[in-house]
Amino acid sequence: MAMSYIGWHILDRELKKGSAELLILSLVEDRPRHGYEIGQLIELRSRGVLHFNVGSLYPLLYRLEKRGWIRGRWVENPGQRRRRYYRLTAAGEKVLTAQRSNWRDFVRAITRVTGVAHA
Amino acid sequence: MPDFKDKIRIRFADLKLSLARENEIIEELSQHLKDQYEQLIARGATEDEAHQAVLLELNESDLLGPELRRIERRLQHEPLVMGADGKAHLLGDLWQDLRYGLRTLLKNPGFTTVAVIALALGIGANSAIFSVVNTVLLRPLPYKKPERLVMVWEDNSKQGFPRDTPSPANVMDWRDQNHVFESMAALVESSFNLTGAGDPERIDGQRVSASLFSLLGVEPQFGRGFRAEEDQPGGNHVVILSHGLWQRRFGSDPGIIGKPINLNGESFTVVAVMPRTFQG
Repeated sequence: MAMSYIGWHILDRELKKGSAELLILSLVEDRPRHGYEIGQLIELRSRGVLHFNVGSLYPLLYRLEKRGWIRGRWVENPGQRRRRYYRLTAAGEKVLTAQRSNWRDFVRAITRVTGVAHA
Repeated sequence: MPDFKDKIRIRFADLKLSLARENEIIEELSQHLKDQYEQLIARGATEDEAHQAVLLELNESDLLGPELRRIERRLQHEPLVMGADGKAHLLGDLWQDLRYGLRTLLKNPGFTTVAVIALALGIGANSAIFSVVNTVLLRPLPYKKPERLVMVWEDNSKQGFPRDTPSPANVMDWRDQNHVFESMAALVESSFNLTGAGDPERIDGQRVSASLFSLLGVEPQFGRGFRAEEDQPGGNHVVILSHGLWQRRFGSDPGIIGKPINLNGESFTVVAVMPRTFQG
């Protein structure tokens, strides 16, 4: 994952990993999505700031699946290629709720320290 | 559309994944790259430009192999279906496989028809053969030494009855002159009007000689078998009930032995009840 000009590199490795998981869990919350769609949505909604390439997106998906937070299924729709759709599991829903809350707390804390909101 | 599977497969060479797992991952990543390629074309890139851009993306994915190795090491002993993280998913995966199989069959009606006919013929032939084997070999008659039992008939082909019931006198002659069989017994199918307690009823039964049960090697559930003197005229007003009739008509009365019942307007004494397993 790359997040260039806002200084993503200053955040530690675990934080990056945690936020990447939060992004994916959020995107499959409403409905199942395939990997390419997830990558596209992250890029689109972050207005190009965040980008997952194949090498970072799929290991992450498989890790989340291994933990039981998302679950993938092959689906073959008429006139389309066979794709693997991921959906949020009940366990993933709980993790998503917790991670959202932690993320809000973290951003508030950073904001208070750096005064970014008043800049 | 270029196929990226080989390019991806090279990166998995030393991952030591199971073949099924490797194919699943390669297919998923390949689909991703195809989507990317199509989007680049849609945005105006030439096929060559799109191809090169997708390969560049793949080449930038240096962490793909090491990351997958780390994750998949823990997955290697799991079911082949990618993403299944436990036995709880087996049924769901089975259902998905069944639906996929059904769709595939519907897409190829010719193949499906041939396959169904072949299966139907195969199953039918197997059923027919098994029926014979089951009857002849696996479920022999429930009598002692069933392989040594034979049925002897009187040949009356001139009248159109190649298997005719012999007259009692002929049976007695056969029995007296027999030097082939260990023992002989006679039986003939009969119907009886059962009257007395309850509504009159037409029942199927058999008139048998006294030696039949010892010949078959079967014993009554309770009571006694027929005696030799009961084969004589006038001594034959005794009856043995089947287990089913005893239950249905006489309410499984344990005191039925010695009681009279009325068959065809004549009184017969019940001397025994046969076990449930006995087939007359």
